[in-house]
Amino acid sequence: MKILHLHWSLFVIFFYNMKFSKSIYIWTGAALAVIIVVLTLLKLTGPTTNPDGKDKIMGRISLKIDASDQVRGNRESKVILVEYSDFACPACAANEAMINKLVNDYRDRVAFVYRHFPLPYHIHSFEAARAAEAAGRQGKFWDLADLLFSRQKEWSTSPDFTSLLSDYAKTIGLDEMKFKADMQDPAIKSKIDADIESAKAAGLDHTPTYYLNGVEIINPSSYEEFKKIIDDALQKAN
Amino acid sequence: MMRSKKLINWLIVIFIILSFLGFSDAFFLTISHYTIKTVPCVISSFDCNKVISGPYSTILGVPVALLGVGYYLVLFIMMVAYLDRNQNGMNYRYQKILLLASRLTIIGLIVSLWLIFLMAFIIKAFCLFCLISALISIILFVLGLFILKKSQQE
Repeated sequence: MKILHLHWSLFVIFFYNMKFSKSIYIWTGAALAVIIVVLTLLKLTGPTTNPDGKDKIMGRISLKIDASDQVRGNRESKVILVEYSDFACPACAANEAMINKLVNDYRDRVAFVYRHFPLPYHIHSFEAARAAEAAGRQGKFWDLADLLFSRQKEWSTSPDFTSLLSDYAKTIGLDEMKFKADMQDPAIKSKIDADIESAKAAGLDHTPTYYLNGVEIINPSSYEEFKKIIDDALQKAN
Repeated sequence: MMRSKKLINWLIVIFIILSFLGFSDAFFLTISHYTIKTVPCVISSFDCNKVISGPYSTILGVPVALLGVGYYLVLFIMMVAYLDRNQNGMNYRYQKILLLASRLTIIGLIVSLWLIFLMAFIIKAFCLFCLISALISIILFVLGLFILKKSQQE
């Protein structure tokens, strides 16, 4: 009761004090500013699909899958997901499990294409891409890709990437001589360069970047979100 | 006297704006810390992921960015409180808030210098928004010095 009494008396004093109104403006302004910033930032970084369910359209990419592309799933599918990725990129590694699960679940209905976009400031990125392509010559592109992503912390900053690669080659059972020779093949270098050029042409500026039927999608933050986007595309295609 | 008073009011307004910017910046960094999986690797020389989510990004399990949010918010509220009380002509009683807030900025300065050192020599990667926060902290410290000096003169 005493507290309540104090409270009321204060209220009356403030109410009769004309300067109180200025206080209201100051504090309301400050509180509003804080709330607006918090809400804006949460909204900007929050769920990535628009409320109406449409995906934001950002960039576009030409959709031709050619013989040099690394494809999983159904090559003939009308729904094609192209991923531009970098073996040394932490966000790409974090997304890898999600992509593998999607590949597993949509194996018959979707074509999953992996393209290289090694970022210039990741030191072994380009070499890692070469290594994966070289492993691909022995039918083990995905084996090495998975290994590179899962051991990213080990090799991405290591001064001795070459000997680590030898270990990885042994782990997945590659013919090491052929693997090392293929890594130096200019055809592999030009394949990666072509991937980079196609990405730059589409204005790509981050990895991983996903294009669904040629249209860039905002990176989904969960498997469910990704699944919904693919399901929608499948529904449209049929 | 009058000029000095005007100047100090301007310093306070800048202080409030900067602490508000610092708060926004730190809040953004906190979100980035918690949603690291969806932060893509952007083409730039700054490797934010490494800094924001690395082993140095938390102190006893609390994200450094979240501490930053608290720090800037406290400074912001203190200065708004001073501005509010001061306009009611109760200057002499609330001078303490002003002096305390100004002195607190040394915490931001020390922490910021330490974090810059960590980024430059230990993590060996920079994050743009962390550097902005450090810059804000340093400017706040300088402002704090000016405010302390001016209020002594009065």
